[in-house]
Amino acid sequence: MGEEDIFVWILRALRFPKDIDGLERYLDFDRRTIEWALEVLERRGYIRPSKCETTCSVCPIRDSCSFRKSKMWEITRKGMEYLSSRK
Amino acid sequence: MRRVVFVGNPNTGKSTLISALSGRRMEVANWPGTTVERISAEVEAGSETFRLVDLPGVYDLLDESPDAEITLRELVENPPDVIVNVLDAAHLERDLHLTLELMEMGIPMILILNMVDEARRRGIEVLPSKIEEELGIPVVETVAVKGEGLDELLSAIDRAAIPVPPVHYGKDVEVAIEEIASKISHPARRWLAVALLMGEERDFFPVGASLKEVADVWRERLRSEVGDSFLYMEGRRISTARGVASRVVFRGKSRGMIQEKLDALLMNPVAGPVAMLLFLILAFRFAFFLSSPWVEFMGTLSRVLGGWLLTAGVDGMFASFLIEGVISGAGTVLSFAPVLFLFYLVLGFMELSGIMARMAFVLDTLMSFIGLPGKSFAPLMMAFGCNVPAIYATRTLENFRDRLKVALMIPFMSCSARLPVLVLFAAVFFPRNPVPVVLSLYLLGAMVAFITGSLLKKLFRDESPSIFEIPPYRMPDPGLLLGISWSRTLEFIRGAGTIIVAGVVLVWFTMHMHLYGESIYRLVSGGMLPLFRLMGVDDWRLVGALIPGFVSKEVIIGALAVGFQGAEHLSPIGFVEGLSMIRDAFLDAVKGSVEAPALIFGIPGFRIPPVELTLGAHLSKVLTPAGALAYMVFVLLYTPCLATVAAIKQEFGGRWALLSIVYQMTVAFILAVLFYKIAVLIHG
Ligand SMILES: Nc1nc2c(ncn2[C@@H]2O[C@H](COP(=O)(O)OP(=O)(O)OP(=O)(O)O)[C@@H](O)[C@H]2O)c(=O)[nH]1
Repeated sequence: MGEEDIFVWILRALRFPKDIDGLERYLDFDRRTIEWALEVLERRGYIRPSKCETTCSVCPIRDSCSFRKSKMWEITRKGMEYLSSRK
Repeated sequence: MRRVVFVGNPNTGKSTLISALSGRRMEVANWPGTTVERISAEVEAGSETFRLVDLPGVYDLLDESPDAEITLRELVENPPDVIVNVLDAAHLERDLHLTLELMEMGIPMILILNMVDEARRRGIEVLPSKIEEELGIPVVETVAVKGEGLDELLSAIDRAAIPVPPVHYGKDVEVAIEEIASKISHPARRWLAVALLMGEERDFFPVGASLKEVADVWRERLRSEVGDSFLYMEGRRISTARGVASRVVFRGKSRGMIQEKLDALLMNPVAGPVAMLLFLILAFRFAFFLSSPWVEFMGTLSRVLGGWLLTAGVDGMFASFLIEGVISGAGTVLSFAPVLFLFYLVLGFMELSGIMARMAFVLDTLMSFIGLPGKSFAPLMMAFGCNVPAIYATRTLENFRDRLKVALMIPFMSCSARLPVLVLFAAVFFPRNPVPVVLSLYLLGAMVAFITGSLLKKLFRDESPSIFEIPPYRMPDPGLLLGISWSRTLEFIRGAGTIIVAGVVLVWFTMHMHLYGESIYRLVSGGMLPLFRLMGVDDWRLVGALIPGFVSKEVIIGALAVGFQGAEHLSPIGFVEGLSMIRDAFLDAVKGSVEAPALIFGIPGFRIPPVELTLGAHLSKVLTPAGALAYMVFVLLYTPCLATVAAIKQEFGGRWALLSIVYQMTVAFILAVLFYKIAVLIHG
């Protein structure tokens, strides 16, 4: 089916929660474009904000972690369905 | 008087341009009913006067923000004579997204590449003539803050033309757009048709309810082909913008050249895999040689701790339990830590630098024979060093089935802990050609792994095609790299640690608990002996050594030595003496680490310590070469160590961990017996 686009790439990346920095490392797109695409995907229910599983105080990477400062995202069930329909 | 509106992303310099064009004589007000600032000015150019209006900055006309609504409403309700689309030359790809959308509005348009000063400073060169060629509308470069390019801007307005829509949405969608647009009498009919197909409506759209229904029907009809039409259309715009940008933007020479040269090598179908293989071997050898001095340091540490316990007067069974059970168990766990940490560093570097993505691409065809993505090559190679980090490294694979498949293959790849056992037996029983024997065994392990992979390929049918995103090369952030490696190492210690300590303690119990005057260890080994006779192994001590060997392969030789030569007892160590032993071991480890880089290019030697030669003499009395071969095959293929099992459990759950043990044991047993029978057949 249709070719790959930024939304598919982001959804695939967000099967493991990431923040905007993580996504920027993963995708070769302008940060603003990624932010915009995240907005679109959240508005349409494909992704949602995600939380860390541990609290920061016991997290081993807290010093180098950028999640604390920014919002993290993860894919929703609707997003997973969309991904598999695009294969 | 022609109305000229300035449209663009936020902060591209629209107001600055209008201010400069009007000689700072601007009218500032608010957009009706909002607090959003409205800047406009009248500017004379030759014989004509233009009314310039600054529209709020937007990324996409369909964004749900007040700014986007004002801009869109203005363009639809009050179509201007000319659109001046202002772009930030340093972020062309991003800004072109809006440009492509505006080009569907059916309004004469020109493009302004503003901030070219900033772009040049960052080594970005944009070719205006190329963009004109691509998009068919006038393009002018400006530096608004310095007033450069303003005259060209004004004269370009005269050349403004209604653009040819640049985005093609695919044949079927285009039919739908065509039909809907034909029923709209507004210059922006194509843009409106696309918006309706995307399921977007605004109260100010000049379309009736019946047309919206037509669009809804089309959207449903296209769903099977394009899925969510909103994502589909926007996705096409972004991909088109990316394509245009890639043809008109040139990045700074120096960096681009090196990247290109590197890519020409790494992405080459022949040179690429070879270079990758060399890189992996060197990287993993680096991790291995750098960590092994620290493994020895950990060994000394637990020996000294044991010695101190003895000195402190802890005695009898309990001392033995603490030292040989708990401390040696914890030592086993900790001795994995440096290996893991360094392997993780290498792996993290590959992932974050962009090398992994290229390797995945280049090795994909090769790996596809066993139904695996190219990325799986790294964990499999890593397994030759140590299976444990290799199991964790399967995380770089995205698909659960691929991860599982690789994790079940990994234990057959001969890790460095199996090498000493293979070397000892090869040297004792095949003294004339030990090297080919050991190499063949390595090959056998790899072959069993690949056969496992092919079998599983048949079992797990659905294969998703690999998709490659090749990111630019990046120098990974050292903090992030260390952080990730450290947290992964801790995760191992926490998750696998208890299992390993429990395993070592259990082995200790079997050795020290007695039933009917015999240790359980001896009873169990003896009980299993009939099975092992099938492969020509007829001595309980050989079988017994495989039990601690299940916990970790490093200890097989030690266990054999204890069995054949008696145990080497711990001796008490004084506090100061112990401290100086630890200090010496530490200095040795530091020295070893410093020397490690030099070893990377060396060839592994086949030195056998004298202690093991006496052990060899014992062994040759109880085993024939055929039996020795079978024993080697079994050691090669049976469960590598408890840490690997723990890793599989952590990653895939207990069921798969158990299943992998059963599978490895079965394969190891069958092949060992097979090799024994064949060897006996050939050599009598
Ligand atoms: N280096 C450089 N800076 C510029 C140039 N043009 C504008 N700027 C600066 O970019 C910033 C944004 O300019 P504005 O004119 O406010 O941008 P705008 O597009 O009107 O922004 P919005 O009103 O938010 O949409 C200001 O700080 C300007 O001084 C340029 O050509 N070169």
